[in-house]
Amino acid sequence: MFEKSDLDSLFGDLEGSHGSTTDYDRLLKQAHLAIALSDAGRPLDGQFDTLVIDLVERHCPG
Amino acid sequence: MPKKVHHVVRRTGTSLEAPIIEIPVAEDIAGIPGIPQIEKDVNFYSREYPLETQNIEKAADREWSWSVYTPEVFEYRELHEKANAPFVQAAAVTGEIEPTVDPVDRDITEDVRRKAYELGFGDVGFTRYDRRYTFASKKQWAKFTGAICVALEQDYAQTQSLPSLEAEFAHFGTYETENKQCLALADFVRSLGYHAQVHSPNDNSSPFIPMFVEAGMGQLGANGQLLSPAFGSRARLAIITTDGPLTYDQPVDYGVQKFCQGCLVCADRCPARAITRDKVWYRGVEKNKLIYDRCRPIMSTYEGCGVCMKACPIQRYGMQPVMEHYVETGEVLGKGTDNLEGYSIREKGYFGPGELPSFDRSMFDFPKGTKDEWLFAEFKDKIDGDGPTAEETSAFLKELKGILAKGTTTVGDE
Repeated sequence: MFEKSDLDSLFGDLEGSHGSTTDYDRLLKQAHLAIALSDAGRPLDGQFDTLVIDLVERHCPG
Repeated sequence: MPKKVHHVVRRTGTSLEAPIIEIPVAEDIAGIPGIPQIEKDVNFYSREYPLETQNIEKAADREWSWSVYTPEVFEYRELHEKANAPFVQAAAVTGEIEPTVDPVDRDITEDVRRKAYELGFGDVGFTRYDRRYTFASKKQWAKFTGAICVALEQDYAQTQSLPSLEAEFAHFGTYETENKQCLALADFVRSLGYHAQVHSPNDNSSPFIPMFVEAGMGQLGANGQLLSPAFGSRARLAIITTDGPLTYDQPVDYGVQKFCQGCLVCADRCPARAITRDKVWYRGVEKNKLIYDRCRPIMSTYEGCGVCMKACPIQRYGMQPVMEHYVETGEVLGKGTDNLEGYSIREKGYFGPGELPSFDRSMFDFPKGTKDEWLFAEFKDKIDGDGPTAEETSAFLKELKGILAKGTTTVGDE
């Protein structure tokens, strides 16, 4: 399950790479949903941007 | 094993071009459209004990709240008040403005809907303006029977930073935009030949949520906010009333009433412990009642707080994925996780699931009631003690005179 430190680094990365783009809101929404599904043990299907899936996989604990 | 779906709600997204949102409502959380209420009780309370705006009934703490803002919030609030005031003042007289042309003499619902989305509103619905909820001070002011309910989504990223100055920018900035958009929509209604009165979100004529629920735009969440299909509680609401012909929408069952009772993350995470876990019947309506005197000081002191908005899964993830997840698993998406439940409070630190900040008892000792009621309460304490001095009595009378001379205002922002 994502803990605060994992979340801080994931969202830090997202803001660093896309914080000033018009896509940021959409990606942030997706990231929150993807984290929640990941925490619940659900698969991340095609509804997510590959960037979001990559972020979640990279920061996913364990 | 997936749950059986009782019904699927289909709603327009945040624009006319956006895909339709399909929300499956599981059988075990299906309820009634709108909100459980006892009509005769709503009627009784409305008649015998009409509601009044908090800007009058709670004027003492409205004034006090400025004394506990951080310097940054104080400065921003002053700027916001200055920027917003002309639009609130303009809205107050819109009911007196005559239409610019003869009536088009047809149903204007779809014209108004299209224009509302074009102006940037994220949802719009139509219902009868329910005078049972009109504030006592607004009963003579409110005109027209048709209510155009408009919702403006506030920034997602800023909202997730609650409680923070950043989130206050979203909160108050959305109001500034919404007031302008409402004035523009009212102009449009007048251009169709009908009257239009803007009920500003900063000078409410009534609580707006009952009418939004009646218009099928969402249901009342345990956090006391409208949970809408497109953006959960991340919206600011306003109403425009008109005498133009409208087709009213119907209330909808999104499954929120029972879903919230199985979730209650807002109640569990509220730093002030201000949300009742059990529903109560209040003025003829069944709801989780917010305890104002617990909420207010935390909200004022900590940048608007808003943890109940931030920690709502329907706000955070959207109603569709949350309800789909519930159907699939029987669980509340995000419940028990740091991602949904974690928050930081200035000078208190970070609080993960199961952790809550504590506050001194003195935090909840703040001015109550109207300004003159609070002044009398303080003066009574002096009488009960050693008795007021001549100077204190003189100061009391001077302050009372000032309050009476200044009068009341229905304008406010929270």
